[in-house]
Amino acid sequence: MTARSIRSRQRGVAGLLVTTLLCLATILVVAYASRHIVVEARVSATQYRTAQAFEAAEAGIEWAVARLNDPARVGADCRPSGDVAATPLRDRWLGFQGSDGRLLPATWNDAGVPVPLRAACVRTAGGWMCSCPLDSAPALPSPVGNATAPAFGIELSAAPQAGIVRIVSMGCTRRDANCSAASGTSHDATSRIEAAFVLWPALRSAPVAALTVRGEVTVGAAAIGAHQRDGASGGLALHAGGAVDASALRLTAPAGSSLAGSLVAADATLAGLDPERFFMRWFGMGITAWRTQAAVTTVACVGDCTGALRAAVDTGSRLVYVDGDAAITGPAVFGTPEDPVVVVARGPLRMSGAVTLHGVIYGAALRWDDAVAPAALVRGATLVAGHYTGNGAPDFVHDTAILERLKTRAGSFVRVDGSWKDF
Amino acid sequence: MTPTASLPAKHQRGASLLESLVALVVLVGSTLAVTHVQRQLRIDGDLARQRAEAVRFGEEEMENLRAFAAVEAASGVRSYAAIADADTGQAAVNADYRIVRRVDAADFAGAKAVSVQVQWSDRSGTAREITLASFIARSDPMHAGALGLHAGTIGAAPRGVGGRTPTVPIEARDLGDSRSAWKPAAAATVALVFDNASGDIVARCVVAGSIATRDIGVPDLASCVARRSLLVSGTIRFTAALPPSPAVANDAPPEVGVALALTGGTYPAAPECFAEPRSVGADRFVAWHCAVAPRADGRWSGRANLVATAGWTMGSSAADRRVCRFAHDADASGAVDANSEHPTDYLDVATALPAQNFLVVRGDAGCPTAPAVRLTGEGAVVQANLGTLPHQP
Repeated sequence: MTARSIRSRQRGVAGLLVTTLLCLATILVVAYASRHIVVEARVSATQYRTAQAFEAAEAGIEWAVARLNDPARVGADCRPSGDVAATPLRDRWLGFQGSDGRLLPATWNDAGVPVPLRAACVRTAGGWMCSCPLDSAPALPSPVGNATAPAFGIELSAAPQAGIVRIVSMGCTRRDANCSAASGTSHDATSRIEAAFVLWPALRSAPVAALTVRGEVTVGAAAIGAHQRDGASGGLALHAGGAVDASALRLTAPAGSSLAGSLVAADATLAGLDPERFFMRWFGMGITAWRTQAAVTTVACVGDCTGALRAAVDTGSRLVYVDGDAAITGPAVFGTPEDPVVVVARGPLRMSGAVTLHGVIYGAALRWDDAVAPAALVRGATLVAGHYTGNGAPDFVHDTAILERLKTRAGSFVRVDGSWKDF
Repeated sequence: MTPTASLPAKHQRGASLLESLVALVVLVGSTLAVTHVQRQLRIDGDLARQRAEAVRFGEEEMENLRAFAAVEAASGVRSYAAIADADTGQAAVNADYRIVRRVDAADFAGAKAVSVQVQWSDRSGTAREITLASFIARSDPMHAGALGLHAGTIGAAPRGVGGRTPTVPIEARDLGDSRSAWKPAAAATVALVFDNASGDIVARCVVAGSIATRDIGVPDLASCVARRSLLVSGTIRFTAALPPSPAVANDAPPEVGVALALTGGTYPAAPECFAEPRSVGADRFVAWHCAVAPRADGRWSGRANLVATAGWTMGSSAADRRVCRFAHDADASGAVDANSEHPTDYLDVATALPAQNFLVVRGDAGCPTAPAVRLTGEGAVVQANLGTLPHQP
């Protein structure tokens, strides 16, 4: 190779090559130096999807507890249903084990395998769409397009303690709207939250008497009946803080027991309670706190409340609150021995005619006119914070089974602090 | 080497201009590319930071909505009722955000469907947004808080006369210190002291035979022996009617006693039983009570039998008496087996047992198995069961 040939090949190329290499090196350096921006963008997008999945899972927990406390009957789409065969979600999802008070999630038969009932919801452009069938897995349409579609799946699990149930919520961002832990890895992002909820009972302490009156009972010759068949409750049928003026009183004591133990009047301790403490003795909280329970339905009525109360009970409400006076006119029936109700009136109760109520009725005072047993009946317990009057002759029957049912099955589910976990 | 080294410089002098121009073009092109990439990266970086910031604002907004302190609207506190549509602004270093809150009443009572949308414009002026959607349940935090105080869900003991548990005898005198004293028989020199909350007997004391239960005070109690015992009690009714009626059994009672035979372990003391005739108007019966000190596990098992002390015998002839017990299957288990149902033999009794009533009929009469009688009610009839089962002999 001669010096000339070398010179001819090198003509003008070295500078260009060096420049090009320098430019490439610059681009590489810039790209390398900016890699954290790329990572940051990816982290940001992931964080957004994770937040969506977390909020969906949290939505599942809130939705489930709200549905457990909602007394309305619902269909397979989880919406209120007018079908009398439909049941509230609490009845659909939970079984009550009588022996130890544990709550057991209901199951459906999946090809011979009992599988816990599940519910699922997905957020669409039109809002949340849900599915909670009785005898199959939830069925929701898969989202279309590439947009995110937050969804959650709900499942209940039993807790070892009485009255407690765990809610497990799986949230995801899109695909597979059922969004369950078992539904694979098709989600953009998932989040799992679990929390325990305890049943805050509708009745904290069962009244021991069929009719408990903080004040006086003044009915003259009206033949009201007070019946106590349960010896374990002490045999008390009528318990009054004041005097009892009831010359035609009909009393029932446990078989073989003395009637003398069925009536106690002028109990100074009972009379000494103020109305709020009287309420708290049975319900475990003040009347204002009681009515804010999630499962309590407040009935707005002026004058005769019969229709409004019946409408509330017919739509599934079992804990009903009237913020004031309440007049109930028979014929009317509220609740059954298997499905009792609690009616609480902040003001005086005025009842007339053949009103039958299974459960507990509470009023600031009670007047019952123009009533004749057996159609006029309260079976469970009656609590009167003031005086009892009236010319009617209804029957008040203490029913331990009804009161136990209200203590263990009726009420509101409340989140147990410290039970929340997302791992 | 000097002449040789000067040659390339001489020959390359003409090509430098063209080379420089091309290099300049390459340099400019690459610089522009780098600048564009850098600009795009800055925008992306900004967008990432803005989105992260927006997510944080959205989560904060959602958590604020969940952190209500009251269900109903109240001044000075966040409330569930106040969760409603709202538009707010939020300035930050990178951008100005608009937080749009939309609240729909859910299809059912007790929850609100909430969506929080955070909107902003990025560096290039493009409108951006993130959306978080969730439910918020109408659940009063006070109830959850009360759980920590062991209130609410824990069933409270039933409260009877005087605010005491209903198994404390009605006529027991409240001593004012959460205890009540009671004489099981008017002439007895024994007073049993009850705990008002549990209904357990917590002490056995000696009192003057002349003092009535309603007059007992703490100073009247002497030689008290503190020992937990459980009360088991009931009535004994007599009737000579044929056939016997469990609803009308008011014959004057002869002298009768009750013996409680304990089984199933070792007991710290023998049971102490009392039987005393009572009459309330035309209603005559014998009231019986036994104080049983339970085993170490707090329970007792055994059987209560009547003892014919004088004037009558147990047997199956017309001259004898037959002892029946009021009992029925209250829990519909198919058998009279629960201790409160008055079984033949008690098993592991852990609480006071009231209303363990007996009916004594003629020896040649069977124990009446009267069907349940209707008390009241129409659709769901309320009945009382006055049936009895044979007990002795």
